[in-house]
Amino acid sequence: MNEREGSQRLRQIFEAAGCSIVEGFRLPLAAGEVSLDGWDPARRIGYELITTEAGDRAEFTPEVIAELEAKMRAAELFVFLVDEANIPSAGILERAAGRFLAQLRKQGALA
Amino acid sequence: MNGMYAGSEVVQLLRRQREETQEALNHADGLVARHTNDSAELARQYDQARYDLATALLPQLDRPWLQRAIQLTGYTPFHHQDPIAGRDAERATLQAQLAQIDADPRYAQRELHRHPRTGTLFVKREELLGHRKPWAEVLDAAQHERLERLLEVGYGTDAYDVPFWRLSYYQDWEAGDQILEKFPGKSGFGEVRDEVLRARETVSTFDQELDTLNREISAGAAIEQQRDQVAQALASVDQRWLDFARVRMVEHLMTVDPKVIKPMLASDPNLQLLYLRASGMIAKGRYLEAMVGENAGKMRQALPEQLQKIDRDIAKFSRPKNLNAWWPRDVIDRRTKSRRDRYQKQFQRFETNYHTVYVYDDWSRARAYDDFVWWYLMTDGRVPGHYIPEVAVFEQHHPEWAQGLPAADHDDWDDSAAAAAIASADDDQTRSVDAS
Repeated sequence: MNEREGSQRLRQIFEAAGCSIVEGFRLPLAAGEVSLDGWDPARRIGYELITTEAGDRAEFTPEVIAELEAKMRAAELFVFLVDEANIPSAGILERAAGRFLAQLRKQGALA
Repeated sequence: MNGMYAGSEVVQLLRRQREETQEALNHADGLVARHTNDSAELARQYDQARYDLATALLPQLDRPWLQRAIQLTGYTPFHHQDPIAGRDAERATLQAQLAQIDADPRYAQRELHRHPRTGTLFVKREELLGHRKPWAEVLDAAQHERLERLLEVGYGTDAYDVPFWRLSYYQDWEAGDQILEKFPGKSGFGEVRDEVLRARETVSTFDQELDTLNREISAGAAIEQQRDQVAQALASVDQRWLDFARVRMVEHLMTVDPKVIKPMLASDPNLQLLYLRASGMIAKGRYLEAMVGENAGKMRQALPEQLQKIDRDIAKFSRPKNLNAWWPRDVIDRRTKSRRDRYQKQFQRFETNYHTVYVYDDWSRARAYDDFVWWYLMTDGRVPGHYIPEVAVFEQHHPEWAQGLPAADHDDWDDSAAAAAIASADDDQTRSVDAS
């Protein structure tokens, strides 16, 4: 899968779980503003494919990632980070995203 | 029209001339091909002649025979590059090497240590492989493209800290489950991890021991191989030095002028005859090569050019304006005169002369002359050989020979003895060399 295909698939999965996804959402952070592949501003849930293909590795610096993860640990927001060197097959991506959303439901972050 | 040819008649005459020329070229090619076969046969005969000469000159490599050979051939380098001393020195070196190897425990106890079934090294290796096997099976079962990562990030332990919002968290999870399935007795990946790490350490320890054992086995095999080589060299040392001495002496005989060598060998008429046979055979090879080059070879160079010229003429006379024109008969007759008879005569003369040289085997005839070239003896001086360098040089020094073969300098040789000597050598062709 390429980034575009992966992003489309994730949008379908997240929307099927009840999210209202905005693509290319600009999220302001202390470490700098970043553009997220998919983001539900109301639920503060989204996803990001950190790939070289889209130049994300330059934007998602270790400082940005650290800030995002700190906010996730504090349950302020949740971003599913596709952090592997290559985007996996559709099946793996679907299973992983499904488990991520199930975890959010379990935590009460998603109805 | 009298005294004139039509253009079409000229073309016919040229085509006939072309056929004759092509035939001649084919004939020349055939002669060269035949000579190639003859050369191979001559080379075989010459090798045999050299072998017979070498065997008679130096039947064995000992002091009396070597002294005699040096005296007969004048090959003095063996006075200071003594092949007997060389052989004895090499033999002593090889014997010392053999004794050293025999005393080496790796060789002396080869059966004890390296017998394929009962040797201690092989038995130990089998034991180690047996102990290693179950641990290697653990590693085989755990094989997974993500195993290294799982071990590295501490998956299955408290140290694992990949958060659930990362895709890698789920991929680790999936890979861990897949590996765990291969270990039915384990309740979690942490147990598998411990087992795999223990297996890795154990296999590594066994592999180090196996590596040491394999090196010992290889070193033992290498020393056995070395001993075989030394033993083989020792077994052949006499023959090799005998061959060496023979080759050097025969090479010397074959490169020095026969008028120098022939009288030196006069005290042993049989040996002298074997020498003359080898000398004559190598000369025969040179002569035939030169004859082919001078005749068929030159024709093969010239005839294709003639064919091209005829083809150009055919094309020229075939043009419409020439085809319908008239051409003077005397000029065209001269231009298209048949060359068939000339070619045939040339080929016949060449083949006769070639055959004369090829079949020549009267080697004892050279005994009658103090100075000679084989060409004159082989052809009775009836065939011009000025294009052969050694013949040309000889004729410069002996202009009287150019008038034909002169009377013999000596006429006291018993030809029946000569024939007997050659027959004896021929009968002896398959005899192996006495290496004692």
